[in-house]
Amino acid sequence: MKKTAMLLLSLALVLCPLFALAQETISVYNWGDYIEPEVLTLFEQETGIKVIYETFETNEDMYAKIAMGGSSYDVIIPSDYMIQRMIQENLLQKINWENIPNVANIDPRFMNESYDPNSEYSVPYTWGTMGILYNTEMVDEAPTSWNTLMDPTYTMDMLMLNSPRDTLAIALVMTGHDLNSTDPADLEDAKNLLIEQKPMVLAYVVDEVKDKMIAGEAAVALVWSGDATFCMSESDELDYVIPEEGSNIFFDSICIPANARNVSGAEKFIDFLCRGDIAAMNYEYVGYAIPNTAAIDIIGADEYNASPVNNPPQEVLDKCQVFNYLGDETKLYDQIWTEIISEF
Amino acid sequence: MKKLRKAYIALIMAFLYAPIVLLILYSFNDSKSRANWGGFTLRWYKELFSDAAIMSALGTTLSIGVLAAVISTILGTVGAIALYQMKRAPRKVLLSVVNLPMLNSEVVTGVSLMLLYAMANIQLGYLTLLLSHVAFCVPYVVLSVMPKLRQLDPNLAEAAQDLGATPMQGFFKVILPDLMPGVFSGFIMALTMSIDDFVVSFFTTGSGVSNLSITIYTMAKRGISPKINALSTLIFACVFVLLVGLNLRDFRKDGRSQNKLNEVKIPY
Amino acid sequence: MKKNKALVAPFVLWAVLFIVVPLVMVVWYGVTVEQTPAYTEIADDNGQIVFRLEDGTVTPERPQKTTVVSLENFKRMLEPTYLKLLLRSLKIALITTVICLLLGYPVALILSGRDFKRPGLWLMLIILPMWMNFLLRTYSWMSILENTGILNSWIASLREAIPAFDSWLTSMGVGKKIIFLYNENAVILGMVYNYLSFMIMPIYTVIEKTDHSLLDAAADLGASPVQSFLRVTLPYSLPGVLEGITMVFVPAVTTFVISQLMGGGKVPLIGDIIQNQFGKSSDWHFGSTLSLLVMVVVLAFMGGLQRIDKEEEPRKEVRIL
Repeated sequence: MKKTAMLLLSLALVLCPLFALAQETISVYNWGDYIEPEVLTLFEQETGIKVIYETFETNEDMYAKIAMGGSSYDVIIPSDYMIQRMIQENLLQKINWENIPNVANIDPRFMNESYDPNSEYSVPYTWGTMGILYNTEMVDEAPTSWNTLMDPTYTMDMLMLNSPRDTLAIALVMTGHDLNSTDPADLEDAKNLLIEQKPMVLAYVVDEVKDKMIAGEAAVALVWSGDATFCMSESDELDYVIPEEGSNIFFDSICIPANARNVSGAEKFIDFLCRGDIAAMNYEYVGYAIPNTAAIDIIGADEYNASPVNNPPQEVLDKCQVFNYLGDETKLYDQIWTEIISEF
Repeated sequence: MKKLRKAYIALIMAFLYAPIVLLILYSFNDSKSRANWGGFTLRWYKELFSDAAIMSALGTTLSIGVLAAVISTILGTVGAIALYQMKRAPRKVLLSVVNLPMLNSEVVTGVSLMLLYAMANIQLGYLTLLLSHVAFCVPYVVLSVMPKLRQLDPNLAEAAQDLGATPMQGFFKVILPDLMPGVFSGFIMALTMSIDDFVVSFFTTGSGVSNLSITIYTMAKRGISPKINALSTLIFACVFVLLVGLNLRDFRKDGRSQNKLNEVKIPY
Repeated sequence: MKKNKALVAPFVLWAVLFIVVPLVMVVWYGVTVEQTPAYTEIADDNGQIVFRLEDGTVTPERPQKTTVVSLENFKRMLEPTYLKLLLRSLKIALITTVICLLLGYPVALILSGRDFKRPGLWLMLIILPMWMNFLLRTYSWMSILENTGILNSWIASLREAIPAFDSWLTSMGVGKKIIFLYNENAVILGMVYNYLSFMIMPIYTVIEKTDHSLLDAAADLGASPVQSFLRVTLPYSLPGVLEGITMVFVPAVTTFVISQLMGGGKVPLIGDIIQNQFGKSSDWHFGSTLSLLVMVVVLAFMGGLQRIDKEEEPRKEVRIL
C-alpha cells in the first residue's frame, strides 16, 4: 500500500511540470512598479498565455542581465539610449509590424525617434521629460526658465538630481549646447555652471526627491515628469513646468530581444499593450505620459491634457531631445560629474 | 563619581535609542508626515501585512538567514577542523584567505561575487544570494570554532576509540559537544550577519528576489511610508524578546554567574 | 586528533571558489578595459550603411567592443579627482573611528567596572539597535534632522511659544529652518551612530577578561585609580581597542548608503563612486580598479595595526552575563 502510494506520488510529481510546460508562456522584463497588474491578468485570460513577469531598477541592471546571456526574455521595456545601444550590439530583433496592428494607435509624433530612426525595433510605452517641480506656496512666481535653478533666491532651497547624465544634460542646455555633446569644451562649460550652482543646492537626490518635495523640504527641484505626477497627486501645492529653453525627452519602449523564445507570444503581448483600453487602464496606474492616442480618447482628452506633464506646448516639446548612447564617452560624463560633486 | 558614570551611560543610551523610539512612536501616527502627530492608529501595521513585497522580502530574509547560517556553520566547522589539522605554514595561508571577506569591505566582497556569477553565467537570484551569504558567514563560524578546538583535550578522541567507539562516533559524541559553544555562537553570528546584510545582497541578487534591506532601500525610493516604521517596531519587538530570552537565566542575578550560557558568544 | 584529511580538500575547494576566484575576477576586471575601435558610419554605393575603421577598411558589421588588458584605469584612478575622494573618505572614516573610540571606550570601562550591577542588561541594550536594520535606523535619523523633520518642527514650535527664544535665534542669524543634514557632519553622525556598538563590544570583552587581581595589586602598591588605568587597564585593553578600530574603520571607508542619505549626495565617498560604476555608469572595469585600491588601502591599514598587536587569539568572545 505504501509503495503504491509512493509510486503514484512520484508519478504525479514528475507529470506536474509537464502540465506547466504545456501552457504557453512569455517572459516579460520591465521597470519596477510599471504596469497595472490587472493588465497581465486580462492578457492571460484573453490569450491563455501565462506571463512570467520580472522587474529591474535601472537600464544598466537590465542590460547586464541580457548581455550576459544567462536569461532569455520575450519582451523588455528599456529606455531610449539603452535601446540604441542594444540595437548597435545586435541584442534586439526587428519587429514584424504586421502582427501588431494596434501600433496604429501610437501617436506618430513619437515614432521614428533618433534612438530607433525607422521604428524597426521598438514601440513607445511611456514618455516623459525633465523639468522643474516647484512648490506654489514657496515660490514668488511660477518658473519658466532653467535660470530659476541659478536664482540665489532659492539658495539651499533647491534639489538637483544625483545622476551624471541627466543633470549634466540640463547644464548643457543652460549653457546653450547640445545635450548629447561630448565636446570637452561644452562639458567644461556645463561643469563650471554646476560648480557655480553647488553652494545653492540643498541636496543631490534621486528618488528621495518625491518624499522631500511632498513634505515641503525645498521650493524647487529638477525632476523627471513621472515623479512630478506622483508628487502632484500627493500635494496640491506642487506644480510642474518644462522650461522654455527645452529639455530632455525620454521614452521607455517595448522591444523583443534577439534571443526571445516566444516571438509570437511577444507580439501578441505588445499588440495587447497598444490597445486603447489597455493602455488607458495602464495609464491610471503608472501615471507616466503615454503615446497612445486611442487611450487618450478613452481617458478623455481634457482630463489627460489637464496635467502639465502630459501636455506641454508643442514649441517646447520640439526643443526637447532624446539621449544618445554615448558609448565609451560615458566615462567622460562620469568623471566630470565626480569632479563636480567632489568640489569642497 | 558613580552618578557621573550612570549619567554617561544614560546619555549614550539616549543617543542610541532616540531614533528608534521615534520610529516606534511614529509607526502609530495617523498621518504620513514625519513631523506632525495626527492621532493614534494601527493602519500602518495593517498595510504592512498586506504588502506582499515586504512580506515576501521578510520571508526571503529569514529563509536565507537560516539556510545560510546552517550551511555556513557546517562548512565553517569543517573548515575549522581542517585548519586545525594543517601544518603551520599552509594553515597560515588558508587562514588569511578565510579572513579576507571579513577584512575586505562589503562592496569588494559583493562585487567580486557578482563578477564570479557573471563569469559562470549563473543567473542572479535566490541561489546566488544564498551562496553569497554563505561566503561571508563561513569566516565568522571558523573564527568562532577555532578557539574551542585549541582548548580541546587531544586525548579525548583517542580515549573514545580505545573504549571501542568508531572515529565517527568519537567525533559526534565526544568532540562535537565540546565544540558546541563555539559552533552555536558561530551560528548566531552567521544568522545576524545574514539578516542585516545589505551591500553584498545588493550586488548578488536578482530576479525579483530581495531581502528586507534591499526592499527597504527600494521602498524608500518611492517615498518612506510609515509602513516602514511599523516594520521596524515589529523587528525591534522580536529582537527584544529574543535577546531577553537568551539572557533571562542570567540577568536576574547579579550578573556574573557561572552559567553555561556564559560561554555563548554574542555576535556583534 | 586522528581525523581524516578528507575534510581539508572540500573546504579548500570552497575557499578557493568563493573567496580566491572572485578576487581574481576583480583583479582581472581591474586590469582590463573594453574598447570599441573608432569608426564612422558611411553609406556605400547601394545606400546601405557600412562602417569605416581607422585604418580605412570598410565592414558591413558594426564593430563591437573587445576586452583588452590595459592599465589606463589605474592611471585614471590616480587622478586628483579620485584621489581627493579617497582621501576624503579616509578622513571621514578616521574621524568616525576616533569619535567612536572616545565615546565607546568609557562605556566599555564603566560597564566592566566591578561595582556595576547587571552589565549584561546594558550590554544587551547596546547590542539591540545593531540587530535592527541599519537602513531603517539611518532613515529615522533623517526624519529627525530634515528641514521638515522632527527637530526642526520642535524648534519651530518652541520659537512660536517663546518669543524671546525666537528673537535670540534670529539675532544669531538662524533662518526659519535649520539645515542639519546634507553635509559632512551629518554623514559622520550617521556613521558614528551605526558603528558605535561595534567599538564598544570588543573593548568591553577584553577589559572584562582582565584579571581584576592585577588592579587590586596595583592599588595595594599605591597606584591611584588613574595610574592603574594607564598602566594596567589600558595596555591590556589594546587588543580590544584595535579590533574595535578595525570593525569601525573598514566599513566606514567603503559605506555608500549613509553618505548618500545623510549627505544628500554632497558628500561623495569612494564607496559611492564604486557603486556608481556598477550601476548607472556601467563601467565595471573602473569599479574593479577602485575596489582594488580600497582593498589595498584597508589591508595596509590592517597590516599596520597588526604590528601593534601581536596576539593571534581572535577576540570574539563576549560573556552575556
